[in-house]
Amino acid sequence: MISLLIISFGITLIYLSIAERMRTYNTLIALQGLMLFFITYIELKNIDVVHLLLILLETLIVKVIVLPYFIHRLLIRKNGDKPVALVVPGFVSLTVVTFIFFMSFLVSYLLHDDQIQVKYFTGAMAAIFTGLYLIIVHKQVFTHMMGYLTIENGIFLLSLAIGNEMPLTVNLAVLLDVFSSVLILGLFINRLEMFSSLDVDQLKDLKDS
Amino acid sequence: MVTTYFIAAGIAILIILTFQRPLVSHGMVMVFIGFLAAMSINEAQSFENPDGYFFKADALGVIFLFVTLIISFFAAIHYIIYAQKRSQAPSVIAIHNASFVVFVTAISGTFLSTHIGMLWAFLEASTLSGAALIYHDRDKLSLEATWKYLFVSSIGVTLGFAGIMFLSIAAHNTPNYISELVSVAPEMNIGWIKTSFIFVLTGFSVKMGIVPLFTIDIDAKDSSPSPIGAMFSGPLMSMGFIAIYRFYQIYAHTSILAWMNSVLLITGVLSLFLAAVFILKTNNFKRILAYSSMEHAGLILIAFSTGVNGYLVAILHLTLHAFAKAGLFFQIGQVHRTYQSKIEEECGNYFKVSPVGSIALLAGLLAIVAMPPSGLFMTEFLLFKSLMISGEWWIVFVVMFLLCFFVYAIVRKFFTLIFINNPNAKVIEHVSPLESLPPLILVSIVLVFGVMSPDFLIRMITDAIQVLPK
Amino acid sequence: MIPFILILLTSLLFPGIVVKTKALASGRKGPGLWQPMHDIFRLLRKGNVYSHTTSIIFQIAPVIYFSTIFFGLFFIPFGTSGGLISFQGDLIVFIYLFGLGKFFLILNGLDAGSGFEGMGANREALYSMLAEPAFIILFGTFSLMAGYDSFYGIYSHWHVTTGSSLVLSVLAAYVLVQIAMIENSRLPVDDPKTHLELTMIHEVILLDNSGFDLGLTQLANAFKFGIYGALIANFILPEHQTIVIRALIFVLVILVFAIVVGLLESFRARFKIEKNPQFILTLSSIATIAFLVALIITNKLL
Repeated sequence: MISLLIISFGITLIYLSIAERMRTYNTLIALQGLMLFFITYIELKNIDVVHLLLILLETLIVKVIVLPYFIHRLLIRKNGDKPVALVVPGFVSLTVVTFIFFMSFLVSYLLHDDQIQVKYFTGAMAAIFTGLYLIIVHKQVFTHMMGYLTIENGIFLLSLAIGNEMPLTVNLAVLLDVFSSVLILGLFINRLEMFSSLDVDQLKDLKDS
Repeated sequence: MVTTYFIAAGIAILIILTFQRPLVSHGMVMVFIGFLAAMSINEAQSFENPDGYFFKADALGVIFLFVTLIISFFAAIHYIIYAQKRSQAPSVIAIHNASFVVFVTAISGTFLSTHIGMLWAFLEASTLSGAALIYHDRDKLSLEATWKYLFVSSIGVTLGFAGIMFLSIAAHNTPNYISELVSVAPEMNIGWIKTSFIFVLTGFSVKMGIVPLFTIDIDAKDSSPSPIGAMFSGPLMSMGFIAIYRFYQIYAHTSILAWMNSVLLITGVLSLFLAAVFILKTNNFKRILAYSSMEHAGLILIAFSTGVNGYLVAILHLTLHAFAKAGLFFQIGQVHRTYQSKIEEECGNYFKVSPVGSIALLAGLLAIVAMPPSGLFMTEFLLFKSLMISGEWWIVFVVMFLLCFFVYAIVRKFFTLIFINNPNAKVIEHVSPLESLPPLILVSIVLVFGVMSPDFLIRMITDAIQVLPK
Repeated sequence: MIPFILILLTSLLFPGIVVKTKALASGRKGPGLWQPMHDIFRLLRKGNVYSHTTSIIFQIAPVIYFSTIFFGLFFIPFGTSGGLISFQGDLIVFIYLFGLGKFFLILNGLDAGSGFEGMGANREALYSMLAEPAFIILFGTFSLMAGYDSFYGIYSHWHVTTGSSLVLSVLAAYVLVQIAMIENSRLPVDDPKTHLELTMIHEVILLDNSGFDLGLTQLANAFKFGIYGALIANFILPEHQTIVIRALIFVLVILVFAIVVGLLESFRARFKIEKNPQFILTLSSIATIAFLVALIITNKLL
């Protein structure tokens, strides 16, 4: 079951690299959240109820419901479901993400450790680097944010990959989530309207000379 | 005591946000700084004794607590003037002061944390409060800087978190307390901790202002009020250094010590090189100071990478640089008020406008370009000495060559500001000479240090670096 | 011998079923099931017309194309009993046999000297090039899981037992169906119904072929579809049944596959041409994930 979830998680990453519409990105991130929710449930069934509930509620509410809903309402419905400007052709992104997958697999295999499971680690590393890749190649604030959320999902998966200090690390990841929600909801959506379009080319006033 | 301090900070924030009156909020910041002072003194006395579950003051923690205390005290004073002169709205002042308290609390908490997770939480808190501080002016530029800072910094801190995860993989079932991690360090898997160190260095470079994530740090120092620029250049940089240092301290007991040193060396030289390239291009005084901070951060890493000879030099350099740079930032804030500009083309003849301010600037320049009697001269001298001892001759030449660029850029641009008569420069406000007192005090600490260095400080640092392997 | 005959028979029905399904799905009555075969036999009875600008390649290419695919039929196993030809690594031979056929088809398009045909050949080459890694990685995954590198070995040692292998089967089925659609020049990559040369891919290569040659290539296409259907059907075939039941299931799966193809074509729009490479590469990516999963399960690296 976990394999199925992690593979679907991986496929969402591949899809993210070629997605072209804002709504697709949003849906994919929400889907990732849903998969993380199930993975967390299966993986952490045995920890104490309070912690489990906290983590599950956080994944379900923040990742699957609140963030996608707000992004949908404040960005997509308001400005229309615009196509995201792809700077690098989807074909290249796809190749890169596949390569990332392969490399993260190799890395996790070479660093083989009894404590972590290769499948988790591969998924997590692939998500982190795919997120970084999305941030590097895209030029829109929206896709940057999606890249950040992908990284963060990767971190969450990574914290699940480590069996030992589960409650503390996962709680920290939860904290990270809450912070990032603050980041997105607080600043981004309310304030960046000052810039007429959400293109990073507009964020170029700060420079030397 | 730390707990009391956090509670005091919380209460201060509550009062500031509830009343939203400038007088109350400035008063509360001062009270909070009083608590910080009390806590610092208390920690200095109960040195090396655990304080609560997560905190303990080691020598480095105490030194940087005092650095933070002094700089944040002056920053608070400068902010009072800043807010008054610009007749800021009370809500803006309240939000700034509340974030300032969170910011200082986060920084001082980092110095004292003995738990890696706690350390990380403070770094994250400093990101959020730092973003609020940068957004003070609420215009397009500061919004841009805030967004970039928040975004890149969050990514940095997230990567740092990944580094912590790798550490806990390597440490098996050990709780993430630094002392316990140090004791299990020799058994750690080399691959994991190398990955961990790379992630941590990349992630926390955002706080220290070094390669690779340095750009937003420069933007932040540029577009925030100058007292905040001082906070970013001094305490925040120390915080980033301490965050990296804690991991270094753990991994130093493994076989990757030499590898880590070369990583630090490469990072340092790269930072120095990039800062040299950018500092020549810019004509914005605050950005010049920001790039100069990056230069010094690079020097600190280089010093640190030379091993046992360099640890003392690095920490001393960090301490002194914090004072000198904070003083310069305060003074540049006054220049900014005088001309309503921080661009080279729109300022000039500052010596005529404000002789005292110019002396503060010149003294600051002397300190920052490491001319004798600046304390930074001493540390840079020792840096070169330790580089030579470890036989890294080519690094010595590269660093010396790059330093020439900094001296040239800083001196030329600041001399234009101070001595050259510029017809475009319009003096809009005359700043009272009294305001140059804090910069003068801060800079003279650095200058005096070059002449007679206090033994207790050296001894403290020497004690602190005993934990690192010879 | 059994799979050979079964595939031969079902292949002949295949185009008819697809056409019929599409007709029914769009509310028409549609031609009879054997109509496409009647067309092909009509073509086969005709002579060839060759342009003066073409060379010998143009004349032999359709025959070679047909013969490679016909030869490919011999490799297809029937559940746990092997095909007519079966040896270690027959998988690779099979894949490159198809590659050879495709190569001559492309030469056929280039040799005609028409701009349209060159363009079609170009696209066909690109898409096969991109689809090939997906196919190879997929069957690489299977041989990794089964521990054998022949069709017979893979099919006789493939058992859907654990959850992971179930996941792999789902992924494999998806990728195989999509590869079949691409290799047979169907939607969403190519549309056999289109009548504008600029948008054609496979059909445009055959613009200059006529009579017998055209019939051969169309027959070859029908066989190709049958082969892909058989590849999928073999995964589902139960082991411990009488040969009659297995044959029935085999035929049924291929026919269902034909219906699925018809339905997919009815309810799917064609991609923009420039999106096609990206789509095909996605299959390779998914196949790579399947491969990595197989590596993790079997623990065979290092």
